[in-house]
Amino acid sequence: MNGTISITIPQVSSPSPEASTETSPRGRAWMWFAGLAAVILLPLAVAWPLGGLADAGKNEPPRTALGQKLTGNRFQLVPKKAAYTTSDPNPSPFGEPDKGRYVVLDLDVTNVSRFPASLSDMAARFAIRLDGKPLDQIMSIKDQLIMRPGDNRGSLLNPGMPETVRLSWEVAADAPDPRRLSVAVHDEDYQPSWSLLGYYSGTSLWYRQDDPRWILDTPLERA
Amino acid sequence: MSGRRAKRDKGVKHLWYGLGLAAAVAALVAVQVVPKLEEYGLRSGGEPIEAAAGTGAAFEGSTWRLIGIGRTTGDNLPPGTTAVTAVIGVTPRDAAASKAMSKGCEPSVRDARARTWTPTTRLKGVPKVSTLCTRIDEKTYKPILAKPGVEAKFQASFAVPADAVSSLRVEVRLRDHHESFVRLTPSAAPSAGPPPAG
Amino acid sequence: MNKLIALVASALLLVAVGAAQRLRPDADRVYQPLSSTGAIGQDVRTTPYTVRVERAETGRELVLTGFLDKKEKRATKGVWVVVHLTATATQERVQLGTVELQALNGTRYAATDRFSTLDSADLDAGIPRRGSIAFELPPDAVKGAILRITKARYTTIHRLNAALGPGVEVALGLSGAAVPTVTIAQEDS
Repeated sequence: MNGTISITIPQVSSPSPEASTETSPRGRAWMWFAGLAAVILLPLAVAWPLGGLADAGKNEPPRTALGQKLTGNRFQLVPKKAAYTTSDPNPSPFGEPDKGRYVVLDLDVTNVSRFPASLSDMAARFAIRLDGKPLDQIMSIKDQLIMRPGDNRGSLLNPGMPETVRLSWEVAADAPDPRRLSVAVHDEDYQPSWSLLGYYSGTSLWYRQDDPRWILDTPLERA
Repeated sequence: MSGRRAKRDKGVKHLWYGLGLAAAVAALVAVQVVPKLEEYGLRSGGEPIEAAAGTGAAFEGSTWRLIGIGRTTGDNLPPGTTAVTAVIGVTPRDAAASKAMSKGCEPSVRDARARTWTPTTRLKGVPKVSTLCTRIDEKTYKPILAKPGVEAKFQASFAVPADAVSSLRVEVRLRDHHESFVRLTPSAAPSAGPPPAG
Repeated sequence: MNKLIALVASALLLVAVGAAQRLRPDADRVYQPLSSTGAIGQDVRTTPYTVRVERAETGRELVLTGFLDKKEKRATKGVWVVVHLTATATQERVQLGTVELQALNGTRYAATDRFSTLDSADLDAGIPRRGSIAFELPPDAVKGAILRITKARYTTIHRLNAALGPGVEVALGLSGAAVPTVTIAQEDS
């Protein structure tokens, strides 16, 4: 805005040709308004007929199956076997085997980050569903173990060291025998810590991504 | 002349400004640190209540004394170490004092270089003296409160470097009480044999 | 003239502020432990303890000796690195804490959790404790690896773990070549 004010003097008789080209203040405001509206509406007017305003839907993560290699920022996973069993999938060398109904997932896991991790770090990034119903992972968890024949059970995943892992969950007593397992796998990002409230040092931590990166969907074999 | 005075006045003004800034920074640091002093006390183990050599001290409603401290024996002692056992007597003044020690006592020893050692169970100690300041009921596993006015005796054994033995003092802390502890100094260097059972 | 000086000074200060921002270390660097470094055979002193690494060796298989001279073989998909060391607490009972090997590219490997080693043993003031710590890592990470001990763990309730703490760093001088078998004794902590 240059701040100039124009005054139009009303012409009573035979207006000159110059005066007819002048724009009134109201007319100028309308021009501004129309211009602005055109700028806002033009992209919408182009996008609408081309389908640009249609609901894009949720960005569904890819569905994967057993045997597929899933390489994230922290772990590389190859789900090998998913089974439903009524015998203890991980009997202790001491005492009687546990009795119950269990879902078992065997995976090959390699820590592809630069820092050691524990098995619980990995399992915490899984959201499990049995026949479409979410499983309470905290209450129903049975074991999270690195399997090595003839060796003690451990939970350490060192970088670059492939391990065979067995995760098992107990099926709720009132639930029917499950047929299908779905695992939403959330990837992680190593980034500086921050917080809206309170103290944070800014040192880097692993943060879980909000949306799952893959969904493993597989029928359960009976073992 | 007036220019010099103006300059001096300006300097004085700057000095006050600087002093004010220093005071503000000090106040800011104090505000940050003072609330943490209690936590510092917790981390450093609290303030000692010292008893003069060979005497007792009042701590948390009880009177504490070092009955004796001396060398004992044990299995698998690390090389260069000596086994030492302290026998401590505690007399609660009233029921509240008995209750204060019912959650357990934590004895330790400290040498002249401020090194500390906690008890080890591998050592033999003194026969027929408890290792607990409050006995536990074998059936209910509940503490049997010590009788007010009656001295309860307990022992603690430590493996310490040989050069620490001559300057050892005994400290006792109470669980859930972090502000202070009692420090007992023996009247003489630890004896060559086990201490008296009381 | 004064205006010119002020302008130049302001420009220089702006450049200095920008440079300071660029040179400022990131939080991971600022908060890393204040490490004392040493070599094999040297006493490395820190506030909670003194550590002396006697030797380190690399093997394709590990033999674990336990109680009553029982021996067990432990395989690995990588190699075993066993570090033999002596650790002495300075003032009070403490555990070594986080024990890691750091490869030349900065990747860190934690001590094995399959059996107890010196990293979880209690160290007492002035009483040297000898022992070993085992690591499993890929063979190409061994050459030039550094032993890194941080986050000393106090065992008494009167001491809490420090957020920023002292650390020990010892270059192990490993060539990367592995012998068939290395032996380690299990700690009874």
